[in-house]
Amino acid sequence: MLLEFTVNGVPHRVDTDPEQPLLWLLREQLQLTGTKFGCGMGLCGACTVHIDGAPMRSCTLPAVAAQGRVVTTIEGIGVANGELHPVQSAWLLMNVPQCGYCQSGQVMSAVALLNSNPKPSDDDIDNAMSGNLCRCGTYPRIRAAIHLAASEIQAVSYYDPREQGLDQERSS
Amino acid sequence: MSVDRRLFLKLSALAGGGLMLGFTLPACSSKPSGFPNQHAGALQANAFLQLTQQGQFILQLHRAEMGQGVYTGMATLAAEELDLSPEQLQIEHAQYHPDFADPEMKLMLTGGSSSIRNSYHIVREAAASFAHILRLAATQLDANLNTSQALPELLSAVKQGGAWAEYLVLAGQISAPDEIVLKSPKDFQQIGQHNQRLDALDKITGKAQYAMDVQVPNALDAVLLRCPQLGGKVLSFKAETALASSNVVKIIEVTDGIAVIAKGYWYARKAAKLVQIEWQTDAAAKLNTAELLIERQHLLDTEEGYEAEEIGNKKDAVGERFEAQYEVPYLAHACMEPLSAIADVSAHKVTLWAGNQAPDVVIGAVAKATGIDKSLISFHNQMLGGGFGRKTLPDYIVQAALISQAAGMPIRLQWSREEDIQHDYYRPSATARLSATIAENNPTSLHSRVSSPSVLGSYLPAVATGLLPGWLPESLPNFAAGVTAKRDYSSTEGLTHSPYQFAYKRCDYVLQKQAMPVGYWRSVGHSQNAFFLESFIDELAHRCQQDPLAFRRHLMAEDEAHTRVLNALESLSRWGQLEANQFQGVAIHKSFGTIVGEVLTLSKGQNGLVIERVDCVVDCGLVINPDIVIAQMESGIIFGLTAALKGKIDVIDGAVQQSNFHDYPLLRLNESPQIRVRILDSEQAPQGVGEPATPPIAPALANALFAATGKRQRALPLSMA
Ligand code: FES
Ligand code: FES
Repeated sequence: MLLEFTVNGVPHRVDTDPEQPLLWLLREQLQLTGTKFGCGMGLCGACTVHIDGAPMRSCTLPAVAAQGRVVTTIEGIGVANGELHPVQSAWLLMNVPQCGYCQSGQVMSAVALLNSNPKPSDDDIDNAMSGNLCRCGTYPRIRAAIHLAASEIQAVSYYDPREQGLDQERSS
Repeated sequence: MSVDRRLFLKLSALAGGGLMLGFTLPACSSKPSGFPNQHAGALQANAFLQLTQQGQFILQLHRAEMGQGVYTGMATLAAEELDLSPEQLQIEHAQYHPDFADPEMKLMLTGGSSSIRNSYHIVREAAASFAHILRLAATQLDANLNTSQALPELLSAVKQGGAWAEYLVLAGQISAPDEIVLKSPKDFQQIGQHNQRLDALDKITGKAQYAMDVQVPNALDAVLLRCPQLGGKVLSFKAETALASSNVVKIIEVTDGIAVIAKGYWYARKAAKLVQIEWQTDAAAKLNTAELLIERQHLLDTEEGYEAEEIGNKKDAVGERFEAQYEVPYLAHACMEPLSAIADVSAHKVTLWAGNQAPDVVIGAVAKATGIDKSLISFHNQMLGGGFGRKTLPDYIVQAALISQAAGMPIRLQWSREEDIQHDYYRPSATARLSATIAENNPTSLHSRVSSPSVLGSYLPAVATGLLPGWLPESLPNFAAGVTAKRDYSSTEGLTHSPYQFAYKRCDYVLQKQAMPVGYWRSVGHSQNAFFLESFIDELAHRCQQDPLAFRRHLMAEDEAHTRVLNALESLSRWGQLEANQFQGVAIHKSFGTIVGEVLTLSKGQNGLVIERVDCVVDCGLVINPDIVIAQMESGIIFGLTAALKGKIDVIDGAVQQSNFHDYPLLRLNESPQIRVRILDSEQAPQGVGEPATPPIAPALANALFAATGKRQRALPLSMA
């Protein structure tokens, strides 16, 4: 099938088997390799992307489900003029990543959480983030970084990469 | 050095684990030529460092970055002697070169929490020697330059003088000094101060490159179907329907399996489901973990075994005898990144891309498997999405090379999560019997007897064939492995050399020979032996009616370093100052030169027992990057909690039963406790930090659970109920 959708602000038309999970289409056909493969069963969150702003596991999402949708990947988060999303700034300040393999997914889940809930409680963080595994055990820092980002987000105002149309500038 | 001597050193280093042979900076002894990753026109003083024509310093990262922080740590060491800040260095993954070998292991290998411990001098010497050459060249260029200023200022002055190209040529003619003076710790500007991770930015923007992300033109995607039962080989297969499915290019039999090659991973995986294979199995297909456990108990009943330690006089073991038996299961590594490798093999050239902890093991194994000379093989290391010992083995890279060779095209081999869990080299399952004699509430002896498979016995044959000269008999590594396995030091590490004083102490190891592939797993033997020993010490404390922490302090009174950690832990954890419904457990363990003490606090609420907090005190010698040490303590604790609460690999009829995170679960964020870490000041040489936080956490939890429930659990994983 011919899939038409928007990725990080850029419209794409891609030929694919409708059943192919979005993860592999993004990684192999669009070369957006920031989204990772961890389990292929929706159990680890390494492959998390946003579909119309909602966090989804791209390893189990058939490509056809993205038809006409707006997809954001880690490459589309906070890169305008070298600026970071508040979640990424908080991640840097807290030195969150270790091996880093799970971190694209962690950042995507955290951005989605803060978009819908700018001041999450610990329970909210548990609910939103427990689907993202980290074998290196960066959890205490993820929790702290989300609280930190939440305090900055309130100061900096609401952020949505799609509204800002950030990625048009960098892709041609 | 003769081949025999080198071989001897390699084998004995592998077998001995801690053989210290002293080092000399290789860069000082050899003229710089033919280093890998050499930049055109750059000045290269040794294998580690270059200065480009643009004035950029480049550091070769000779250790694998797998989360433990060597990317930042090595840059900090080099930057210190170059008067730079670590982020000013450009860092590249080093290709194999003998100068990058670990001085203890004699291999270019990342493991044993040795990276900083064994590079603390080498990398600083490489940088200081380079700085010396650069200063000397400046004086030769212009006697009026002030060479006592910091190196970057000196280099800018040279640049401003307009004779930069001439300067680099001049510096290139200067040999490394015979002796190097390193900065004194009191003058450190970066070591112990620098607190950021240099690889963090790439890892939160999706730019960090792991094996799976490498773009190799024309590389197709391959998956390798293997027998679900251990040791199985292909008897016959039918692939017509699979071959007809979309995007499939080739299906071939290779290395004990069937490789399906397609344009796209998902297409390969989909077609793979249509391949029909008949397998031929061997004795390993009869393996059952339940039977192996019973066998180990029988082994412990015998008089067999190797006496790993005996201290004191058996006559002094007086009083009432008390014995307890403990056990731990096999464990998978479950790195977040499922194994992946890219290979481009032609008759005269092999290029490999993957994340691995042991580049020369990779090159040796691929040379052996493909029949192509080592000198024609280049291996490009990548960021590792976790390692934990799994990637000390080259199996997945050898597979990729063999598939590429057989298919005649570059391929990217991608394992599924299921394959990653079912074709691992597992942390050995182990059983231990600990016994003590107690006279009037005082323990007089400790005897530990442990039975497990040998990691070394499995690792040596897996890697040694590729490392040894071709003319040696094939059987030599197996022979060496057989000899060393029986006394594998890692099987008893931590049970031996404990800080506890008893009138009589003894430790025996009884090797269990079995077909299950076993491998190095974060903290190796310590991962189970700390659980055995620190649980048993706790049991003894209760038997002797003493507080578990005070009891330990008493037994280790002669060991100042341990006592210092225990005392700090007592105050950090507010030991014994509990609210109603709170319970604590303590454990302390030394591994890889570092002492870590942990107190775990449980609280009992409506939902039963919950792990509220872990307090951790660490003495790892001099600290390079304090925040990375803290992060590694957190990481080791959470990794160890997964093993303590969840980890278990079962084998029935030779097939691993677990397959993905639903049945091989990892600790999740909502289960992760608050962790407080205190690093003790030290002027001793730096020690390991990647592994030592893991061993104490399982016994700390078991001991806290005993405090809460009065029930002693002696097998992992533990139940919170
Ligand atoms: S790879 Fe998608 S949830 Fe694990
Ligand atoms: S940082 Fe390694 S898995 Fe999360």
